[in-house]
Amino acid sequence: MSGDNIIGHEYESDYEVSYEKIKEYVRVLDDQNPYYTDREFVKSLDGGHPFAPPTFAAIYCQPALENLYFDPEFSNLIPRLVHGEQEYHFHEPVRAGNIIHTNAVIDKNYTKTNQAGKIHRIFEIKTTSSNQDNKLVCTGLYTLLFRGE
Amino acid sequence: MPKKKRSNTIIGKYMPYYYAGASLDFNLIHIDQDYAKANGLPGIILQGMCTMALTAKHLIDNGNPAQLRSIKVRFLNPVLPEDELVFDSVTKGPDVSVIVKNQNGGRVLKGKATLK
Repeated sequence: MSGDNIIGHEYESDYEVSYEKIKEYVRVLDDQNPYYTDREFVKSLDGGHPFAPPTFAAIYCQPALENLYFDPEFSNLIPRLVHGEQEYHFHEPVRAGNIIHTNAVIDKNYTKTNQAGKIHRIFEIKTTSSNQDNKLVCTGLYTLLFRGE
Repeated sequence: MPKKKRSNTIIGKYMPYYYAGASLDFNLIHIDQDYAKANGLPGIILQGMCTMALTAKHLIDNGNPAQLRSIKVRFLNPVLPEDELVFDSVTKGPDVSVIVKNQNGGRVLKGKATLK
């Protein structure tokens, strides 16, 4: 089965966080938090640029993960792939104007039998994201589940 | 003393499309009804990351986003367009536990977070 030889594969990406993209993202969520959308309010706090929501990690990690999804070892699994679990640990806050470098590595691959007796295959992907000053901003653990028939 | 909080969100009919556009997650199970059904789903489903983002919004609640130190969630059941979600969280010191249910009482997400 495809996916067997994929452990340890690594994918990289750089993502530049823009204020416009942050606004677009929070608009979908109907999130009106002024830390994201009110430039003047944030400037009055510390002179800096607006914040990205913590879960914006999904956006700046996406280009690295996309490289994984297009890995020929992996791409044919996608139709039956669902997101099982997600974990993020946040460090330095991400602000508009930051450039985020992400490394994604396929860390684990194992099978699990659910209550209905279906065998699911699990892939764990670790992400590490740092900003342009080389400060850690986020580590993530993506648990993707390949649904058994 | 544990602190409880509840909020509600209605998932818009087109939210998976909007979230796909904003997040670049164009996996077809989120945007193509036929493809989703052919792959064993009831229809298009909302991106799990979107449900997680709504959960983080519930936790941060218009405050400083830097207070959220970590979040870990398990996606239990698909969220469908036009679902009505109820977010329930319990905070004890820095630790928060959260459960999200749909309008039928079905659990769609459970998770833990730390706030500072």
